[in-house]
Amino acid sequence: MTSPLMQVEDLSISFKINDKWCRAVNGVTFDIMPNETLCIVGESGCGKSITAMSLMKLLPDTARLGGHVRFGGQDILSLKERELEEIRGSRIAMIFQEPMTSLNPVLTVGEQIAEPLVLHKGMGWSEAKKEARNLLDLVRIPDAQKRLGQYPHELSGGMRQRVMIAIGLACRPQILIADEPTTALDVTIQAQVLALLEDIRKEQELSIVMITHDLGVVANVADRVAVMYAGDVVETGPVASIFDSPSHPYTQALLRTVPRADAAFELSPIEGQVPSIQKMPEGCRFAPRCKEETSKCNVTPKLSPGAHSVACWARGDIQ
Amino acid sequence: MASYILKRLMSTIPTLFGILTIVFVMIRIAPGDPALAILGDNASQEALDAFRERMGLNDPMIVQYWDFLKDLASGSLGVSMVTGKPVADSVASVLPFTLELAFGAIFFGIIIGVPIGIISAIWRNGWLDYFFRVVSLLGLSFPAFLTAILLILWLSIEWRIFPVISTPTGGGLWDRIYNLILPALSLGIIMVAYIMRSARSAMLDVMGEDYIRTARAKGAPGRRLIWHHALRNALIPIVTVVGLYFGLLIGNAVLTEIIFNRPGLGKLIVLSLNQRDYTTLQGLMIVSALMIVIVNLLTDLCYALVDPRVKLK
Repeated sequence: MTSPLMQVEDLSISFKINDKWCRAVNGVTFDIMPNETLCIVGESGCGKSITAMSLMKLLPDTARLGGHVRFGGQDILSLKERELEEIRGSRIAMIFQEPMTSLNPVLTVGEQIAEPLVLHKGMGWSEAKKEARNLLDLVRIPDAQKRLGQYPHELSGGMRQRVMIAIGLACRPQILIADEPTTALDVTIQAQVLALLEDIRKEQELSIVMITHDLGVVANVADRVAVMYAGDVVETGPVASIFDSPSHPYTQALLRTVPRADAAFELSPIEGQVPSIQKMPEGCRFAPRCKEETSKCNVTPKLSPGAHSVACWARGDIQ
Repeated sequence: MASYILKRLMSTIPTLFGILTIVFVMIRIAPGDPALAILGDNASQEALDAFRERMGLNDPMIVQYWDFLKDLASGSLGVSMVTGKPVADSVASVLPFTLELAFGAIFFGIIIGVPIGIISAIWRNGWLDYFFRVVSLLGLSFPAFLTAILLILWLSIEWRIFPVISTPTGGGLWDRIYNLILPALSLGIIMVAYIMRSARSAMLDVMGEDYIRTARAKGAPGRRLIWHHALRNALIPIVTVVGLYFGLLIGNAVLTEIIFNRPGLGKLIVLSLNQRDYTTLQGLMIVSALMIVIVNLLTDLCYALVDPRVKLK
């Protein structure tokens, strides 16, 4: 069995709100395997984006981090800023949701793509710009030479996200974290960008951590899925297994919110709301919205062992 | 580019026209009589009448205005009522001194204001930030003449680094710069305060932008984030402030020129006001207004320089 590329162990993230520390992410554990796409899926505000950012310790100083993020024999969370700068953009890269605001408006596309090469590979600017041209070809932007000298506002939304991907791939990272990379794009462009990421992952033997709330995206690209709810990973497993036999009541409910074409299928929203970070319920955080709540649910359940694991007291082999 | 500049200059003609009309009327309805002011209380009635007749002051205001516009249209600012010399010559002889003072003040404002604004933003709410904010508040609240006098007391009289009275004429370039430093610094301190505050808030805004997070995710070190990714973007509001306060600077230059006994537009304005020298005053106002118009144009050209999204059309 291959060993994981990155191991996230008991990662917790807290923010100080009104002088009280509130846990936005409540001790999540998952592995990232080589050459796979892991999708972290959940509603808005469930902590998936800050989980992704903490994988390269990008959160502001106001966040308190606990647990471990093991990568290449080091614990990312205990590294100093200098050491992190060496890893960021070179071995782990990240692309963001909104390509318009995520690209610097006053720097040319060429300079922004070449920058990580200059920072990490010791290239000169002219050499790096040549490589940037190749990267634009890789992300299938036509007329690459001309694009290098353009500014972000001169490109379309889909093109900008391709530029972001080119920046992310510049130093051939082992892990690419993509935080809702297609949310801001048209549906047709979404499909193109997802297909591009999938092709590149296969070519470059890269692992992708894809953050999304869109189960359609998950079904398209994921190898494995981690379902997050209110700062907990409630279920994780191979994509087929999660979609075919969802186990956690939240995962089941989530899948019933996706429209399908079968006549027999009825769309049903999940009752209630995600609890506020300041008033998290004790024990299982989904219990107040759960139809299968038991007397045990006031204690936090742990993920069951195995490839497809679930954290729910109503599901058999749980401690 | 050239056609843009031309278009911009043409579009300022109505503004200039309005300014010179207001100036023309205002100095004439203000109390005081040029004939008396120039010839003195002891002048005979005949002399006063002759002077008024010669200067056209007996004509109705509309006729005087028409004559003034005719002169202007032929490119002449008229002749001084006091000296009889062309106004354009006396303005041209002092304009360079005001310009060097204004640009010297802006220079100090930028080289001191921008760095301390950035430092304040980086160590937001730290002791350096509080210190600079208090200092800049003092700079804003002190009247220009007070800072000038304090600077003279410390730097000229106490420490004898700079001359008390700045004598910019004669001497070489270095002499001229040496004489400029103290007046420009005292005028620049107000600019420092404004520029520091806008640089601080612009940097704080920019440092929270998504593209700064992207740059961090690339592994860009802190100083590169600040000096390369953030500053280029923060320059846009800073340029605006510099352009905007140029007018204020011209106003304050009057006081600075008097305190340091420097020749310049300001001193000439006060002198011609005392002498009720209508023609010189009009000429000075036109030149001052034109300077502000040109600075506004330069500001817009600077936008295009720092922000690629700005297209000049």
